[in-house]
Amino acid sequence: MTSEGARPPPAEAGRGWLTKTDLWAGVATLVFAASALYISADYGLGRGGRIGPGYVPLVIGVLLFGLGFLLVARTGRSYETVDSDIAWRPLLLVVGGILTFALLLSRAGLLVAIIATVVVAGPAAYGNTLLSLVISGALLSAFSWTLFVYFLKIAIPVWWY
Amino acid sequence: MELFGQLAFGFEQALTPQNILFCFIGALIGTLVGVLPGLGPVATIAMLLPITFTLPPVAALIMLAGLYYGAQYGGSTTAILVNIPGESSSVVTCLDGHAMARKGRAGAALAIAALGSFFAGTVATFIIAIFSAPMVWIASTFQSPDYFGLMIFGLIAAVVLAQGSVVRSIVMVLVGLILGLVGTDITTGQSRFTFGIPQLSEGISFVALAMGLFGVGEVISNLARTFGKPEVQPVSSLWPSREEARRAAPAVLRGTAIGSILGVLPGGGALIAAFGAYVIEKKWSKRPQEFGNGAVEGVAAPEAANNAGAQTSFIPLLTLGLPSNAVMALMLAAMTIHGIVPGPKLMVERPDLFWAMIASMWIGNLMLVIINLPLIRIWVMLLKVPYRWLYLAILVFCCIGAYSVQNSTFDVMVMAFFGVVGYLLPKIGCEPAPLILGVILAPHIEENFRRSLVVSRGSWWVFIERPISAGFLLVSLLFLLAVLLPAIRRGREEAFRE
Repeated sequence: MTSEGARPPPAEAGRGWLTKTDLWAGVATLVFAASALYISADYGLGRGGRIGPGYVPLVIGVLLFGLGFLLVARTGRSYETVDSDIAWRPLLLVVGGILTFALLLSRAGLLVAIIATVVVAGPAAYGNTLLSLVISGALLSAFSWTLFVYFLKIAIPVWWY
Repeated sequence: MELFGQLAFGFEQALTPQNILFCFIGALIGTLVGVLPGLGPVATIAMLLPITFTLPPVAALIMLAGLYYGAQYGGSTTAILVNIPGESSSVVTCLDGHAMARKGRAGAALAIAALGSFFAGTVATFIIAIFSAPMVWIASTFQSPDYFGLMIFGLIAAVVLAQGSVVRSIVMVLVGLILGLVGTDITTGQSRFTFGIPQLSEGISFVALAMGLFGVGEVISNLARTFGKPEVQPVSSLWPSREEARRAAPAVLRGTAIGSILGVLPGGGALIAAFGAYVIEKKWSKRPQEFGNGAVEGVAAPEAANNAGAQTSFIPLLTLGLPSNAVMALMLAAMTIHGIVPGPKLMVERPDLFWAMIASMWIGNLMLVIINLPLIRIWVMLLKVPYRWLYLAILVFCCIGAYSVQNSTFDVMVMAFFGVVGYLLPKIGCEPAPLILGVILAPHIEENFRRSLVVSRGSWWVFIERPISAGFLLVSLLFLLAVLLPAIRRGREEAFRE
């Protein structure tokens, strides 16, 4: 269970503050709030009862900034630590696979895009070989065509022409 | 009775052979995907949403209901048979459900879960039907400041009642609010946070965002773990023994009651209902030592509760337009895609849709009992499909789903972006669920805030002067104070630890 202020194991309290979730969440919040405030700075706050497009972003931005500050400030008292173990291989390959789909769909069509996506994202899991990926990609694109194009008649480019 | 007349009207709308077929398909596919590890109901519904696009609204809603309950129930199956909670609300079912399975009572546990859920679903359907009319009547007295107060209350309560750090959850809500404002401001035409990208002028695609945060993010973190071969417990007879049935029945009743109440609360729904029911069952039991070792009540009560809660959490959505959790936020988005705007006007202006939807919930529940128990062996086989193939199918369907909402490859990239965000957020202790609520409520909150200030000529006092909005805001404040005060905070921690 994670919650602020729970009594920490004494040895961990206050130590290794660079690894605290509150610090990183706080810094991320401050960066997000600052960017939101900066971008919305010239949106106009409106006048009197007619609030402008910048009014609500300003209120939220200020609240976020305050909370970000609070998170950073309480880092010393918190004990939860960041999970810094990032699985780069699955992260990059999965994202790469999805982007492949996005880029190929309108140029090469659904069937090619699916096979390419599977081949790009496949090595994210151990045990997938190129041959097995090409085969499962082909099966998946046949299935997707049958379901989405043939039965559900969803408008999606199937071929490159 | 007017109530039965209205329900009968709903069934008349819903019960065409075609709709029953769609409900059946929905429940089937929902269960199928719900059984798969590592996809909760939010990602499941988002991924399967495109299947409903080409259907007429009533058929689409019925299919969605089937998907939703299927996804819910699929999670319990994996919880019992493999000890993997398919979604967070089945965590509790793992404890005793899996213990029963280890003792060779897997079939009985599955049957009790299914029948208990069906009973709870039936009761909850009636509760929705009974309480909707008064709720709509109350809502009709609401003005903009009251809606503003209500939504703030909804967000705060959702944060406080859910687990996790309150401060970080509020941050997530606020970040969600900003993301929800992306696009063209309706009143002034000003583009906000669009970075000059034309595809963002209509806002961020909610379905792509939800699928990224809950689907893609989950796939990445599942791939980071190594999956052992799941050890599936064999299913023997599906019939509970007389002793098991005798112990389950009162637990189902209690679970239904607790779930129905907790489901209505913002931030409630299935998860908190299941936890609440389990804790109470254990405290009241004459044999608390059996809990965790296969107590029948420990399966029956939470399963009934999570289904009742899953259903009554529709009440605030249908009557007030207020989604109380991430799944309801997605249901709201799904309904909007089909041109249905939930809220007090729905029942008055489109009674056919409203009552058909309520009838379809019950039909969805019935379908589950019909398809789940006989098909249980097929679900078991599904559990043996290796994840290294499954995730590829999940990714491809997510891509097609994100694209097909508005035929946009840009939305597919949006999904990829939020996939990364959804993978990284939990690493710094932030939950994506409150963010989703913020995104979907942002336009409504701003609109009601704007209208209130027009009436009050810019003064914030308007929110205090109206008793309804003042009440909501006061309760929100008390909620916040309560979590921030140490004594009560300790109690909350203990409640969640159980």
